[in-house]
Amino acid sequence: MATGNLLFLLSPLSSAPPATLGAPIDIVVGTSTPVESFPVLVFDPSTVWYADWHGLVMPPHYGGGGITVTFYWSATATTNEIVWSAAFREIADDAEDLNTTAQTYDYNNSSAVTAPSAAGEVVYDTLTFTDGADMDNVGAGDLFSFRIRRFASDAGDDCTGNGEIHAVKITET
Amino acid sequence: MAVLSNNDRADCWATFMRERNAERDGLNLSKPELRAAVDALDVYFNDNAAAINTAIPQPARGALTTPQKALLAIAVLRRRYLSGA
Repeated sequence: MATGNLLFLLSPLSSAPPATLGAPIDIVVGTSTPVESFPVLVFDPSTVWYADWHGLVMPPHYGGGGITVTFYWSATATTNEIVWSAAFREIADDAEDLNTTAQTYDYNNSSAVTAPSAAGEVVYDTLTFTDGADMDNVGAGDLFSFRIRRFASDAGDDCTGNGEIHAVKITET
Repeated sequence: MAVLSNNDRADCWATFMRERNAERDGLNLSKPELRAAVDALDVYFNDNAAAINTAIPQPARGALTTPQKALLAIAVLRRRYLSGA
């Protein structure tokens, strides 16, 4: 166990949208030669949208130190703030029928983080989870799903621009 | 016609942000500030609807339906403020 150990690096292209309110994938167009196409998950300013990653197994080197989630994000506006959230869903061994068991996702929220000073810039912001119930008791070797959202209905989320997720990093705190 | 309902104003606000963001046209104000602008314009158009209608000369005033008058106003505003902007 070591602080900062990389556990997962999540790309927009490996996400799975929920059946409703899923954040769509879009492209941020670069200006190099040839032009890049940066895939992003787009989060609306007026509606809470979500993105999921499934089939994640906590690596054996996770030592129970808690989790730090890093959001790599940009926005289409350059002022005001966004609130990002994340939650874990443990899928325990022989414990629940995914077809019939509804999960109440227990979100942790970031502080209201300021949009980058330019629409094409990416900033890094974090939120943390303590080991145990705060992360739905996901431990080393456990299968789990991971859900993020933009908490657009929170009073602290006042940015009129789309929030664009370029990547999400999960490390041991 | 009365002012828009809260739901209609919220939908207008959300749709405007969505359309601007699709164009990557950044709005440098907060969501509450933008909503206040939506509400204020709704009140203004409600308070001045009769005057705007009177500004349209006959026979257009009598020949056009209310939706057509609204579209005409949009066309004029678009030409005034958006063409070549």
